[in-house]
Formats: sequence, C-alpha cells, structure tokens
Amino acid sequence: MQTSTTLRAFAVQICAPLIALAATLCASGFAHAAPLERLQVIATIPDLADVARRIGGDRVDVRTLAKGNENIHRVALRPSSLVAVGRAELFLQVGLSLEHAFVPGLLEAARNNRLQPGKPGFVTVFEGFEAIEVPEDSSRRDAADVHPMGNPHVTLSPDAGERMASRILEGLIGVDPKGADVYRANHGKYVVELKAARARWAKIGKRLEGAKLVTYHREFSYLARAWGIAIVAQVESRPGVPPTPGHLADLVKRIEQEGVRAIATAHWSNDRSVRFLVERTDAVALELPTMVGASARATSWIAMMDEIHERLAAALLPDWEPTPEPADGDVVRGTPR
Amino acid sequence: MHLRLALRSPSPSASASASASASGAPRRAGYLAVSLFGVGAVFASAPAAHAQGPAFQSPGMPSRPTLGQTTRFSNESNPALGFVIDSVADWRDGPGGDDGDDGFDFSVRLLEFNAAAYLDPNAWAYVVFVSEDLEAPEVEEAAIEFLGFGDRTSLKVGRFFVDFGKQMQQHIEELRTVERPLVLRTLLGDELGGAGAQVDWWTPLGDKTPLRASLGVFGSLISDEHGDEEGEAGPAAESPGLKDIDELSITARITAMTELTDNQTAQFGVSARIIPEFEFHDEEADVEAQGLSNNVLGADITWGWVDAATSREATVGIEWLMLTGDIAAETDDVTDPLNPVIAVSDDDASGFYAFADVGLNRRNNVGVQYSQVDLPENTALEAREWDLYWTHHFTEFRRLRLGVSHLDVDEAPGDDLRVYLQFTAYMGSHSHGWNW
Repeated sequence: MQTSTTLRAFAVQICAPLIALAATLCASGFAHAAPLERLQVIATIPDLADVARRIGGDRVDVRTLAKGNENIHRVALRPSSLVAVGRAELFLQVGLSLEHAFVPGLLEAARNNRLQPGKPGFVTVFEGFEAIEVPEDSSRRDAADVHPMGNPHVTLSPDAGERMASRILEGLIGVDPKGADVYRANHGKYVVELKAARARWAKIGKRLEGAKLVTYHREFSYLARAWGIAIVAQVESRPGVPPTPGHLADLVKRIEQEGVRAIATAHWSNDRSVRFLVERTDAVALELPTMVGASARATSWIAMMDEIHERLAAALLPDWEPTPEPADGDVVRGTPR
Repeated sequence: MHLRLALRSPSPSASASASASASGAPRRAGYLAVSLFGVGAVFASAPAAHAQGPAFQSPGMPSRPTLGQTTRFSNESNPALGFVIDSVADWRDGPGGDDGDDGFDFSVRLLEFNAAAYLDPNAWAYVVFVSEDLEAPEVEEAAIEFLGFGDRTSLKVGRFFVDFGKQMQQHIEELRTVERPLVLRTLLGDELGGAGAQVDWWTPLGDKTPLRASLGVFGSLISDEHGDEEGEAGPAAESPGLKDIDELSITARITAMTELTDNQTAQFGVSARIIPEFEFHDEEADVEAQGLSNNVLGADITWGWVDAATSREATVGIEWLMLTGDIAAETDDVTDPLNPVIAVSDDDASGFYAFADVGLNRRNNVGVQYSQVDLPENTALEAREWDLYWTHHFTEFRRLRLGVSHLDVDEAPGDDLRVYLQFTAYMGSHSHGWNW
C-alpha cells in the first residue's frame, strides 16, 4: 500500500500541473482564434495554396497542410491541420493519389461534411488528368509507393499552372458564387503571368532537350517529358524503396556511361545514397524545390518553376549563363506570400 | 485458497443467463428498449439510405428500399479487405529458474483479417477477425460508425475497442512494444473491447488546439484476455446478463492536443472506465459474490517533436491509471471447506508507464518504455517492466522489431527476461486514421 500511496502522490503531482497546463493552452488557443470572415480554404500542398491565394485574393484565407520541404508521401500533420480542415469550406488536393498517405485519415478525423468527396467543397485539381507512368498493375511487387493512376507529381509540369488555376477558380466559385467576379478577374491576371512564365521556361527547355539526368524519385518526370530531358535512372530502386547496394553500383556505371551531369533530388531525398553517387562519379547533386516554400527563392509556384529551370540549365548546360535576378516588384516572377 | 487477478473472465455471454432473474427481466428489457429507441431514433432521423434488396416482395415479407446497385453475384461494392500477420521469435529466461520457462520459441502470434466499407454516405462499417496462435478466429471488432449528425460528431455502435488513454484503441500488433504496457494489461486487460455505443465529438479551441470528448455505454466491459487464462482456478469476473440502465458500463475520455511550436505537439487526456455492476464467480467452488463495481481512471500526457524535412522525430509520454473499488477476489475454502466464500478486495491499485521513442529517420525507430503497477490481488506488491526496442520499417507494409523486455514481480521466484524479433506484415488495405 505504501507504493500505491506513493503512486497516488505522484499522480497528483502529474495530474494537477497537467490540467492546469491544458487549461492555459486552451485559453491561449481561444485568445488566438482567427477571425473567419474570409472563405476558409485548405490546400494539401503549398503549390495549390499559392494559386488559390492568387485567385482568391482578399476574399480567402488559405492554409496548407504540407510544408514545402517535406516529403509529400510522408507529411507530418499537426493539430492545426485538424482544426483548419474542421473549419474549412473548400479543400484542394492534387489527386492522382498523391496525398493518399494523409488526406483520407485527416478527412475522416475532421468529420467536416462540407469537404467530403462529391461535395462542392472538395476539389481534386487534377481529377481526370491523363497522367504518365501509369503502372500496368498496382501490385506492390513493383514498388512500395504505388500510384495506380500514374505519376502524381504533376504540379512540377510547366503546364500545370493553368490547370491549377482553372480548377481552383471553379472550386472557389462553387462554394462562394458571390465572389465570382473577383475570382475571374484575379484568374485572368494570373493566367497572363503564367503564359509569360511558360514562354520563359520554354526558352530554357529548348536548350535542355536531350540532356541527361538522374533523379532520386520520379518527381521531375513531367518536366523532363515537356522539354525532352532524358531521365536515365532513379536513385530509388523502386518508387518508395531506398536503393540497394547493387542498385547503387549499377547507377555508378550508368552515370559514367551516359555522361550524366546531375542527380536531381528534393530536400528530403538528398541523402547518403546521393552522396555515394556524387563521390564516385562526375555528377553533381542538384537539390531542387519540389513544392513552393522548399527554398528561399521558391516563394510562389512561378518562382519555384523559374528556379528549377534555371538551376537545371546551370547544372546540365556547360555554356549556360544565368539571367540577372529580376528587380523588386517584378510580378512576372510570382508574388511572394 | 485461490488467488486470481481482477477482471479475468470467460466471455460475458457465458454468464448472461445465470444472472437474469425471471422477475427482473421485463423491467430491464424495458430500460434496454428505451436505450435502443434513442439510438434508433437518431438513425431514423438521418437522411434516407438505401441497401440492396429485391424490387418486389410478396405481401407480408420484409422489404427494403432498393436502387438495384448490386446483385447476388456482383462484386463492385465489395468492402476493402486487409490481412495482418504478426509473428514473434523469442528467447525467454522465465521466472522458474533452470526448471522454469527458459528457451526459444517461434509463433504466428496473430492473424488479423479486416474488412471495411461505406454503407451509404452517412455511415461506414468494419469488422476485424483475429486468430491468436493459429487458433479459431474470433470477432475482435464489428461496428458501424454513423457520421450524419453534422460536423465533428460521430456515433459508433457495435463491438469495438474502448476509447481509453493512448493505447487501448490499438490492436496489439500496432503498439510500440511487443506487448501492451504492464499497467494497461494489469488494470484494464490486454485488450478492452465491448459491445455498446459511443458518441465522439471534437471542437477547435483556437487555431492550434482541437479538443475531443467521447462517451461510451457498453453492456459489459469485463476484459477479454489475450492468452489462455480460462483454465485457471479461482473466481473470475463476470458481467450480469440483463441490466438496469444504471448498471451499464461506461467509458469517457477528454483529450486536447496543441502545437507548442511549428514542430512540437503536446497532448493531454483524462479517461475513465466505469463498471457499476459485476460479480466474481468461482465455478469450481460454485460460489459467487454479486453487487460489485470498480472504476479505472487515467491521465496521459505526450510530447512529440518532428522534423518534417528529414522525418526525424522524438516522442515522450506518460500515462497513469488507478483502479478503484472491488479490484480482486479469492476463494476461501480453508476456513470452512464445506462452505467456501469469495473474499473480495475493496482497494486501490495504481501504476503508470512512461516511454521515449526516437525516429532516427523515416524507417528506423528506437525507444525505451518503463511500466510499474500495484498488483490488484495484493496492493502491497508491485510489478515492473522495462522494454527496449528497435523498429525497422522496410516499407509501409513490412516491419521488423528487435526488442528486450524485462518483467520483475515482487515475491515472484525470479524475473522474466525476453529477447524477441517481431515481424509484422500487412496485406491489402490497412489504416487507422487519427488515434488521439
């Protein structure tokens, strides 16, 4: 019984501060509650959030679930994610099962009926999109990270901007028809910027045609396809499966045989296997942003794509000369958040 | 004299007929009808849902609304299916010394089959069958969750694991350690499932703090044990059959989690499990003690840190529990061998577990866990357990764990040391959503 008494005293010492702390935090939470006058929009990734902010303007309050430097296949959700989804009126996801690791469970926990699939508040931006790299079957024999509908990293396509913009415009009007005029006007301005950016990237892309690249994951497949860049191999032995020693040995040979100049990685995947390859070949590690916010420069989707194109060119083209940084306020480069 | 840990029992249904008196049954049935009516009314007020059924029924036969979405042989609407294989290879140095439980073993500890599907836009259902040590499978969970009330509220009806603390909702193969923490399996049971209904609701407190509350009502929450305890002699806890409404078992939990910083989260929770009416029954001695009750109260606090870019993470937590009331019993067949009686211990037993888990990267975790608890049959004694483990996730569907577990019980003839390899494989669909 003495032990029990000791434990009881311990419990009092633990529980009392716990309850006090909980009360303090709850009170703090109430104190910082955000006003909800604006349309509450949740985007799974910062790229969608950036476009939603551009089109929604002052009528929307946009939050994002994933951070720019995260592995989209393993997003660390937070309590604020649940709160935000619980309050949201519009939910934007890429689709193509890109977010299948975290969206279904989050929606289930949030129990926000406005955001259930099939409701106007649930928008899959790339629904119906004809993806590339569609697996012949969805057996996990072929990969651990299986996307039955094809490669979902479509937001890194230079053509993704207009698709995102048009679907987000539809989504915003669907839940907030009163703002339709504002949304359409913002959309029109944004599309002009997108077209200018697309032309800028095409100039670089034309020079990149035929260049050879190794990527860690299949994130840059759409971009490579758009400009004719040859992706020689992936560092992952299969999507979602880290490289085996044998695969790395093969990669060293292929990089040397093919004359690959760069290994494109994301922040999360720039790991020791990449260092292994860099140390044994002439290729350089090229850590590129894969989502808005992944680098200091990638403050918008357009700015991110600018950075990707220019750094690819610098790494793959021996005679590349970077263009000077734009002057402040150059909206063609995208609007910082 | 027989001594037995509290709340280990045969299945509750075994005692149902023994406790329902003929005179009390109609009144209790009335209470139950009122309870069920409430639940039924909720469902009836929901938007209409349609299930498959024949388009025409002869007069007098039961009919259901039909949209013709399926036939006897169609498989378009089949549920998602999943299987889990949990196998353990271990070496134990048991408490019996050289003559005791020493040596190696390998077991397919658990086979789990689960199926889940939406029934209509407002409800989904799931069922989990489990076979332990390759024995006949049992229904571990089978429940329907209704989501049609509006935002942030759900009602679960059926048999399911209760909402208590941080670990009792989880199946054993999902835990950080090979076994449930000592304090949980001693005071609540290896797994605590019950047939009943549970309302779950959450609300935001500011931008970064969701608070969740649940209230469950169950016919019985007498623990179902993993492992074979039924052969043990002595009194076993049993639930009476039909009950007054105030004799139904109850669970409740309130928990809140909040972001301390951008990459740190804290969670606090308090839980309760109340059994207002049960009995101890010694089948061998043919004696019983009725009108008993006990409660378990718990409090938990967990802190987590995660580096989103690298998937490195760290989590520490502690959960404390106290069992109060009629917590244990023994059959006294020595004082008067012709008239044995059950002596019930009205006492408190408490304990806790604490853990630290470090995610080195997205595939490897290491951790340590310590648990300590008063023994309900003699609260002057206690037991302690240490766990050390390394878990490697080959992929999302294949996991290997190497662990060491050490159990030390006061006045036991020796300690129990266990070194194990646990290999768990997931086939098909498997997901738990948020467990908080």
